[in-house]
Amino acid sequence: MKSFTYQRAQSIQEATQKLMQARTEVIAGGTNLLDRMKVFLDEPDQLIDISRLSFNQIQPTSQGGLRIGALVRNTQLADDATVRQNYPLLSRAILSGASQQIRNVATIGGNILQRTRCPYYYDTGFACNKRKPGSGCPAATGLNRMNAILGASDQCVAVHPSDMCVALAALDAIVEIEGAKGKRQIPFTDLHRLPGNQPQFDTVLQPGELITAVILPPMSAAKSGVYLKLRDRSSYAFALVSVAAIVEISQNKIKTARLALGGVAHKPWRATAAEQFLIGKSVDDDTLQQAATLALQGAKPLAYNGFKVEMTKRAIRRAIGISANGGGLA
Amino acid sequence: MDDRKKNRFKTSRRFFLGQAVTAAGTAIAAPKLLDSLSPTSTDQANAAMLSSQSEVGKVPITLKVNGQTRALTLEPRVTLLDALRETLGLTGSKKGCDHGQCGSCTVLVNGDRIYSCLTLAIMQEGNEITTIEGLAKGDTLHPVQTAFIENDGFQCGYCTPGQICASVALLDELKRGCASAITPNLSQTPKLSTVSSAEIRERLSGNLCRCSAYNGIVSAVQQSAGQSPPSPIATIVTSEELA
Amino acid sequence: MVSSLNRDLNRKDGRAKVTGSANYSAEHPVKDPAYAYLITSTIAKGNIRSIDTKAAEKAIGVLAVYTHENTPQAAKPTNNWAASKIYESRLPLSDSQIHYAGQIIGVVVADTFERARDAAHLVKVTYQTETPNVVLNQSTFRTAPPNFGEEMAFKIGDVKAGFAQAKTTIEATYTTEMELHAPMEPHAIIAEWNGDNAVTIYEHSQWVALSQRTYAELLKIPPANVRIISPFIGGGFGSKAFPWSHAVLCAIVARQVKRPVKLVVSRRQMTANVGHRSETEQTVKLGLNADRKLCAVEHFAKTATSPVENFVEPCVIITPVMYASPNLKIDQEITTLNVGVPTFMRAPGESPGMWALESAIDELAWASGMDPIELRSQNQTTLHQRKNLPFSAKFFTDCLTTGARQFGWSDRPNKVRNIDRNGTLSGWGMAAATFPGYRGQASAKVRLLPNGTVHVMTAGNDMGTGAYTVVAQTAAEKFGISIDQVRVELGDSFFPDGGIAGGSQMTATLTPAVANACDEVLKVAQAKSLNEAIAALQRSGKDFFEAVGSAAPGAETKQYAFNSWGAHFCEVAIDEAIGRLQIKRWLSVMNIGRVMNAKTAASQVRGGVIMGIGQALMEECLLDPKTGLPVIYDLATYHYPVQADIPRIEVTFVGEPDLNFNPMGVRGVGEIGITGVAPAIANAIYHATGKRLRSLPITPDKLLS
Repeated sequence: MKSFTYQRAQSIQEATQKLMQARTEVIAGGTNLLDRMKVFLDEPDQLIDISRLSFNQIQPTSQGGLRIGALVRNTQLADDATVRQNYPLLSRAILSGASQQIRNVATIGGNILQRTRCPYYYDTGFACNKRKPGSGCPAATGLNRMNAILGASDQCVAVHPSDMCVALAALDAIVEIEGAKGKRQIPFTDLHRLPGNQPQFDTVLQPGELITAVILPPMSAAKSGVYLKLRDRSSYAFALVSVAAIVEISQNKIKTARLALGGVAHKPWRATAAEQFLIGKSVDDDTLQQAATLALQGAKPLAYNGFKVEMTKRAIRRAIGISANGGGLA
Repeated sequence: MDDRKKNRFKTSRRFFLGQAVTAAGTAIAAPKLLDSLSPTSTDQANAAMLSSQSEVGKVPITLKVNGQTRALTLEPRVTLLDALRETLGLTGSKKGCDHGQCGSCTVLVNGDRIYSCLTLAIMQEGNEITTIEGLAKGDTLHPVQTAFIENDGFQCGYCTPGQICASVALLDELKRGCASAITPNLSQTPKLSTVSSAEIRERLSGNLCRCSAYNGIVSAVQQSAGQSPPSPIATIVTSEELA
Repeated sequence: MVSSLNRDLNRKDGRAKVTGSANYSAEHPVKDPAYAYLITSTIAKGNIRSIDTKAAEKAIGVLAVYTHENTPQAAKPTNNWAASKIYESRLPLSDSQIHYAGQIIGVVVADTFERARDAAHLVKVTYQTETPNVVLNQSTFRTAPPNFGEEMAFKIGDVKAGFAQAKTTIEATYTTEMELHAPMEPHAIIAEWNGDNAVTIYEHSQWVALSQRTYAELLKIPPANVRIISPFIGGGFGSKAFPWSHAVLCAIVARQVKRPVKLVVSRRQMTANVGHRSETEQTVKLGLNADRKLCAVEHFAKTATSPVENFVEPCVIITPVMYASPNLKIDQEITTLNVGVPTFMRAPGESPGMWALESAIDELAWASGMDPIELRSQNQTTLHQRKNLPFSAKFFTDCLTTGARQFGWSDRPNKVRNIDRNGTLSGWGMAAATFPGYRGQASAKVRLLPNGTVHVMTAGNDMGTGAYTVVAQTAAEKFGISIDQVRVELGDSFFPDGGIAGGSQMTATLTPAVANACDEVLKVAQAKSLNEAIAALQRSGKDFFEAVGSAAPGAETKQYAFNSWGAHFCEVAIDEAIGRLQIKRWLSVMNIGRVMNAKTAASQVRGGVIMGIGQALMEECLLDPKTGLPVIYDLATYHYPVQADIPRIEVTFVGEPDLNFNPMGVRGVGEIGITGVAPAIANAIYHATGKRLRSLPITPDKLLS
């Protein structure tokens, strides 16, 4: 870890202004940033601590949804009574990520902005286009069991590691952003980007911009939402694949469907074609199979992660099935 | 020991430099020592220079650890774990991975469990930090410590302080109604008296144990929660019994 | 009977460990320590063309930077086990050659840890890179060298003729990946010199006395001038027995900077620098005749070693120990890959060897329609077929029958793919376990104090095995006192050589020596009992009576073969659609001679079983085939079991004390637990799914229907 100066920001404005300066990072929980700094992935000269700012509230919105401050800790959100009640898949997604110790510290903003755990990215001994644009992507032709099957480019096959973000993608969340130029809101699914030929950028955030809140719209169907995570050990491991599914049943037919995938792409992956297909269908094996196939259309497995295609399809079928039955533990 | 460590830059730099310069002059195979340590300078000048150098980038930090206020001078990049272990001499918190992947460094901050390797000491100013050294009351062990001994919840002991801090926090989380990824009904979180072993196991999965005293740790938590855990002792079937 | 007087006492070292007061290697308070941080290679094969340390040297707080260009060399040690032993025979920084990724190419010493780590990153290295080979099946193999002086190849009869008589024959190839010891405590050392000629080494050591002799040779100083202090070891599993290169280097640079130097190997650096278990590829062929007896057995293995050491994971040695066959053939080959040094890891040889053999036995059971317990029971051997000696106190049949009864084996459906109450596939599996009974020589000192305290001192050590407790129990039982009256000090080279905590032999080696030392101290006191001795001591006005006792194996090794035995039983539930597996039940029945402490011994077995579960289901260290750099290099990428993976593990001990082996009747228990675990799980998976999986680890993708 390189040496740096440390300051506590007194306001969000101060933080966004400082963030415009070169080699500056903000720190809140720090559970991913410090991890990266220790292995020289990030080498800021100055660190602006925003953890004591007041963006740590969970408040009801006038529309009946929730506004979640970016500095809310993961545990706080997972254990929030309204979230448990109205958005249980969000609680479950958060609780299936990392460990209690990390969730107690990590913030919502930090969770969203955490970076890939691709082992080639995480070791400066390897070339990596995300770390050093133009240096190459040895993961694309290397041991890529954990890497992307959807939306990757020949420059980057990393996946976004968050569980929470998969649930937020399914929940039609909105991200509130503040920067030197002011505030803006964008759909959560537009925040993260695909790698293309600029894999160094994970999101569409502009220099100096910070996430200040995530807004959940009201969604009665979300009560039956499901989060299913498959991984190499039973807990404390990143997803091989994960699925957030919310289906609303009316008169034995699917009225609305929301489906997001984790562990498969550079961003939390919303499977809109499959969602469209599901509307109006009854929940049977054939429907689920076709939806899963649609969701994985265009998948390009790499040498070692071909299993993810079938595994994701199975997870989709299982998750939708449980959601259609009212939700619960998957 | 703590005081000596705390003051080491003030009291012992000169002592060391005197030796180091001698070493540079007479070493069997001279290492690439600092330019400032070239034998042409005087010992005193070098000492003063390195002594002032060693303070570069350091800032005063006040930590509240186990009820005591401790004033330190550290670089901002020093993690809470390294401050505890290397500066305060509180080596009970262990460094197993230094990346939040093993749980050995678990301490309590304002009662919540965190990995002390993944936070900077300076970020924890003003918080109440409790380490394994702060759990017992004098000679009287914390009930969770006793339960770990009785249920053989450790072997090599290296992950143990982290496991115990995590377990203490876990019991409190259950009292507060925190859920886990496998809690069947999120609005009916488990109670101490009935929490299942599966729930305990999920909630302690952020603490690795390579000796794998996992069964004993679960039993220790069950005992601390007021349950009656299975005996850690093996069944012994004698030849007479078999005959 | 296998019980003992104090059979379920709590750990003697428990209080120190639960209060955080137990000091591990990097935690001993020394005056004004400097911090060393390793610089490691980012290529796997080639040469260092240049190494630029200028920026690092100028960095604040840096005391020195050492590379192959400026580091005083250690003396080449005898490295023969008796006089000295190091893991990697190439001495650190001895030239500019790179043999594996992550190899140590330098070290920075600074006044703080943060500054040392930062400066290490400032060192700029250019390489002349060669193409490494890290892929086992792209290699050329050679006959494996002997294992502790014994040829790997061995045969009885004529296997070709044997297979010709077989009614049922199976042949299959089984593989395992590279495994890491991954103890919780990273490898660490503090070297503190007193002048140029005497050093105190605070370092975890599974064999303190040998470590002392080894450092003496390396540093060219008398052994008496080396003090090793290792009171607690944060897990070793074979990786903390001898000095590694980083430790040798630390001792050298501490002498140079004339200041105590603390070096902790980072978790990532541990991947290449503190050992691993080689990947293996094994083929087993078994023939069963019409009388349901094995008529031919063949076991062939391939493993890898490092360019800088010749280590063989001796997979095949277990086969002539387990099953009788008039025709039997084993052999093994190795290849050299650009990997760090493979070494002893919990049940070296036995663990992967039993994976292959016990999977194959299960395949034979299904192929022949025999119950796997009956097949094992009927084909076990009373003779160690290589040594041609009878086994002493072997109760393998009791392990099988007791296990079958306790587990309810007779309720197992005799077909595959059975659905349990929850709608998931349920499978039951079992496999045998075994590990040799090793014993070495050891000494201990017993000091009797006027207040009745019995103080036992030995350089033997406790890496979580329970040595503090069983040593105290031995003295307490000998004198008929409470273990609270016994004080135990371990892991200090000032004390008599207590032998190695390796090969599961510490208890068998050390406790007879402790018992003898107790007798010796009574002789010094000219007393028949402890009370008489205390009275004599009080009369004498002396501060203490003390005596050293020793014990060593004798002629029994020419009359008997010694092995511990066991059987694992497990039930798995598999959600085949999504590849999710849960272990529902586990029972291990072990025959280890006398059980000194049924609490700590149970923990040893459980620990072995759980490491075996890791091996079966998740553990693998993988290297990028092009660059040879690991892509699994920390505790996030190298998965081993967490709490959520592990069910309650029931442990039962059967049998009798093995009094042929040693006066205490104890055999080891540290390693047997891991043997047979992976095949028990794979056998259960076969029972659940009908799918025979022969490559470890069995990750969820392999379980997808």
